[in-house]
Amino acid sequence: MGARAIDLFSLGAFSLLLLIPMAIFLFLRVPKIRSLLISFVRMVIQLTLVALYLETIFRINSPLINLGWILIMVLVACAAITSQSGLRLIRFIIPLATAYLLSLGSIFGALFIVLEPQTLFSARYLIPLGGMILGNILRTNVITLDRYFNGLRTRPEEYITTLSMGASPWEARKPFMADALKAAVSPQIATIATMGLVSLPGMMTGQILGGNSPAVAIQYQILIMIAIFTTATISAFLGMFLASTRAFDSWQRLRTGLFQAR
Amino acid sequence: MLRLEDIRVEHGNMKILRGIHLEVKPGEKLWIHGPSGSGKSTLLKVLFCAEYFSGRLLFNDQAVSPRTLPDYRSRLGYISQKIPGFSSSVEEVLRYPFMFRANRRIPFPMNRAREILTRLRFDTHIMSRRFADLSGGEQQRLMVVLLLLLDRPIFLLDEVTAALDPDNIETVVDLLTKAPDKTVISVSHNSEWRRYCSRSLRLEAGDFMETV
Repeated sequence: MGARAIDLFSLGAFSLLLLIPMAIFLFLRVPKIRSLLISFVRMVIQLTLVALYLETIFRINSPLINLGWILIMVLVACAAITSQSGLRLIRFIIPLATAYLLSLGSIFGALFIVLEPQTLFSARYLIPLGGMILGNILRTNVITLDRYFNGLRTRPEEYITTLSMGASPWEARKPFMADALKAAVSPQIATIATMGLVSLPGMMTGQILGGNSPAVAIQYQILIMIAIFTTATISAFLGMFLASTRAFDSWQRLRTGLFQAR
Repeated sequence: MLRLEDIRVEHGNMKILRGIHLEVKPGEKLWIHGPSGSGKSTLLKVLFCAEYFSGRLLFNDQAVSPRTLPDYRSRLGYISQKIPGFSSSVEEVLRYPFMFRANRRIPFPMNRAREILTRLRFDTHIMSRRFADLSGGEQQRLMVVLLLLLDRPIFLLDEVTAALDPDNIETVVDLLTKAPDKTVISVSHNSEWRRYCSRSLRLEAGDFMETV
């Protein structure tokens, strides 16, 4: 049993609701109407395309193609993360892609405990689970990388002072990493604590709408929350760690040309 | 001990240091002064190898390189103009450097810490207070305590008396310059340093103007 399809005319009519936020923006002179429209048009096109190729991927259902799809998503995530955290993609694509593939690999390895390999590598499981986990990697790493490198860039004295006290470069960078990780995981921990009370998570809602029982839906939700949080933390740590190997020169100075011109 | 040869620093089109030559002998006390933006702090960062520069930096007649950097830096005690925003207690801040792998074998010198704290007019309760809650002057004096506890042979001091009242300035300068074996390079607008230093240099627009 699946969710009841919505007819396109109704969906189009429903989209008129967006006129309300636009009216509020106009009233408060928030200059976001154009970007709101562009974002929604982009979303519709992207999701339509996703639906088209996911239909194909689900039909073919080849583990190799599924893994190739994950690899493409990782590269797209790297581009989005560097762009949003003000870093230059060319400098960081290799360390970040390595960090995210390693984190995804480790979590999919652990998922074998609960799902047999055939199920996990089937498109119906791998693509949505991978997508949700990667989406969270993206949100977490935008915050950690932005915070980490901005900290090092705007508070160089702190780094230098710590080095002068005898810290190794890694020891001197650790407080910056801790600060960045704290900023990224605090809202997530708060969200986990109120899950089910304040909000019903998207995956669970999707499963219930798709016809699954709430009991099965919560099992998957707990599974995905553990996977998401663990991967986000591993990827954030590995991301900062591996990006640092490219970001510092042999004198332990932050290299120039790491950041996009703003 | 320390020699700078034709040190140049440029930030984009701006020339921060324009071919600095400097020799500092062991135990020498050097005061560098000059207007804001003349390159004083940058010069200290060059000495700490934290700045991009061209030219040569020699320590004991050997060029400092990435290979010799850890050993070279282990001889330096550096206090920057901006004080790090430690959120822990004063005692934890003072113990912090002794937790690094390089210092782990050194026991925390509690008696020496108490002695310096008393000398710098801190009361005994200071250890339990939060570093971030202290005034700029108190934080600056605590950075001096840290520097003296680490007991490095060369002190690089960037405006270390900027937030202090006259009484504390004299105490701090005296404390930092009285050991004959310590080499001190202090960058400061405060002329109190002149009385305690064996040499003073004026830096203007990235170059030394005069030697006294």
